Amino acid sequence: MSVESSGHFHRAARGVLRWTMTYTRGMDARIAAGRQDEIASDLHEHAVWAGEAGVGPRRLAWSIRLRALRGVPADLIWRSTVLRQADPGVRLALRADAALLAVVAMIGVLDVGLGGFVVFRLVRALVIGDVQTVPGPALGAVVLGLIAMLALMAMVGERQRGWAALALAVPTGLILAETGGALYFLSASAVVLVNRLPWWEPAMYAIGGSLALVCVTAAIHWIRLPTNNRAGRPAAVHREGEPRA
Amino acid sequence: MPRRRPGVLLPLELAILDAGSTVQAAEGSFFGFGLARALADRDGSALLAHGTLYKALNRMSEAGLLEAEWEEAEPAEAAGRPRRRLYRVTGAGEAALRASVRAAPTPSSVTRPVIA
Repeated sequence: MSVESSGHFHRAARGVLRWTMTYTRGMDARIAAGRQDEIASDLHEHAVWAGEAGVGPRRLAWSIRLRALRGVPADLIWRSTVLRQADPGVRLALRADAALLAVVAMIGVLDVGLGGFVVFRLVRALVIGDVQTVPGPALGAVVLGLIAMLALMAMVGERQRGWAALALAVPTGLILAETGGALYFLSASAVVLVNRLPWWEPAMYAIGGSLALVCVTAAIHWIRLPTNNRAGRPAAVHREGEPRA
Repeated sequence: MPRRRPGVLLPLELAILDAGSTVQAAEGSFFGFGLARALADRDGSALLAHGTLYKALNRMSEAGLLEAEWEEAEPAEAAGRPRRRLYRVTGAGEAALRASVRAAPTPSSVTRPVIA
């Protein structure tokens, strides 16, 4: 098997191309396509040269990854330079998109954190004998935390980001109230707090609902936005130099 | 970061002009990976990082030191490989290289940077 057709090379090349797609996202389609094609051509030439020089697939993959990694600061500086020259409207849209992503990701991290906290308190309560069985709200909070974790992981991919944000809205809307309900069984302080504040549950649902609304808004934005616009590359542009199988 | 004076080339840009001129004299033009290999062979260093190489080539093309164009589809298809973006050192690039050689404090040709 030639070096070019090895799995090691293909995995490394895919990783580099994915990174190239990431840092050319939102750029003028012609500039983005030019850089992507040039990197794809470089990867192919690198593999051909490695084959001729007797370099093994593992060493080639390592060399490709190292070249990409060492070039990351230059890639980011180049992106920043290109975007500075871009239309102000495009820059604003990119910033707004990044801000929305940051907010939704923070909501996801909060959900996962709450689920994790309930797991910790639940295990502790079971170990010291505070509870004999798993309370329903605790189970609910853990499941919601898991759903949030899966949605957060799915948000990494641009194609499914909108649907992932929509899925995140469900645990976000419910997990605050569920966590409150779980802590009623697992924490003495929570019992005091819940008894003193009779309005805590509607308040938790209101806050959760507001955060869920942010997720839904982001989801609609990402689902309506074609992936190619985000990637800065029209679907019609042919990609040069995809590593060939 | 201090801005560099107009007309002053970075060591990497000089190295690209020097190695690029050499490859161009033999083959008529050069492409990204071929240049990275030429630089690595010349300096005994690792292959230049993707980002560093293509950012420099892009900047030099915009500055008029290099001219770039995509290779025709036929030769690439015949060779069973993707099209290359071919670069050539322009007259301005040659002049900049000559000026830097003249201004170099040592008798050696061009400052040879250590390329990580």
